[in-house]
Amino acid sequence: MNAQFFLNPLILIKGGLLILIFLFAIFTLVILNQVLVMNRIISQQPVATVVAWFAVLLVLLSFSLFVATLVIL
Amino acid sequence: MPDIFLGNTTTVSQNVTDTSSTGGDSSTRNSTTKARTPENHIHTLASFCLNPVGVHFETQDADEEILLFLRPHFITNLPWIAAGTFFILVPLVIAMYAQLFTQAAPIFSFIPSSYITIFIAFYYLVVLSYIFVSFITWFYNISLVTNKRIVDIDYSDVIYHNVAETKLNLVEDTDYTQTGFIRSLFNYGDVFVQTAGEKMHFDFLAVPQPARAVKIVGDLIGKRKTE
Repeated sequence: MNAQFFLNPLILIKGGLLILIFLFAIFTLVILNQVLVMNRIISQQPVATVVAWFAVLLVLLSFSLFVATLVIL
Repeated sequence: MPDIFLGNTTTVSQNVTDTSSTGGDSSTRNSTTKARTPENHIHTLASFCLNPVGVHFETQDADEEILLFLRPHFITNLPWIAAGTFFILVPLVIAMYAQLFTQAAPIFSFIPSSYITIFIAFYYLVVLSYIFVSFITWFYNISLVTNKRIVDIDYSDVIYHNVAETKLNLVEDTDYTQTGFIRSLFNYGDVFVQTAGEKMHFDFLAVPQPARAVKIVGDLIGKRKTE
């Protein structure tokens, strides 16, 4: 690996995408935490459980996309 | 000698009796024995519910019953639903005219398809979270009226939430406003509850049937003052 490797536009795009997706994955963790906090404050069963699971799904999808970007690109 | 310092030991079950318009329907329920019926069953998109079943909040007392459940009217979600639908359709439109885009901007023809796939997947993930955050912002904005107090739960901007509550005996006045054609058409408005507590007023914004909500709260504080 030399400096020219990192100046390859595709490598730069990949690096930028990885950073973006990782930050987004952290954001989805924040959303999940807030959903859990709000479900503790006000319980609306059974809808609240579905909302919490959807937040978990969002986290899983974002981290999956991060791994996929790391591997595929 | 008779006991004069003993309080009334009989429990008073709080009934929410609503005999307002809409066909003269009256829903009187004994809150101590709440059966799940279509009228008090909270569904996902419920914005107004008397004596709701399946709802409880963190600081709710054992003998406290929720009498009224309020959320902003579902029509207030139309802006983000429209925006979300637009964002979902944008890549599809671009895909339909992809050839025109590559001719106009040749740089896109040099990007490998795997990059475009990942970018589109990321784009839809962002749109999905936008829709989800918009939904939970509406979903967790709740106002509750119980037989003891009024609870106002505000949730916004993902990381901000505020829970305010006041006892019914501190409520001084209630009123509502309903301005504009859309609000009159869909019968939703803002309910304002003035209190003598630390928080001077509670605002229930864009709630359905504001007149009915004000009447229910007014009847409750009226009952409190006569007890």
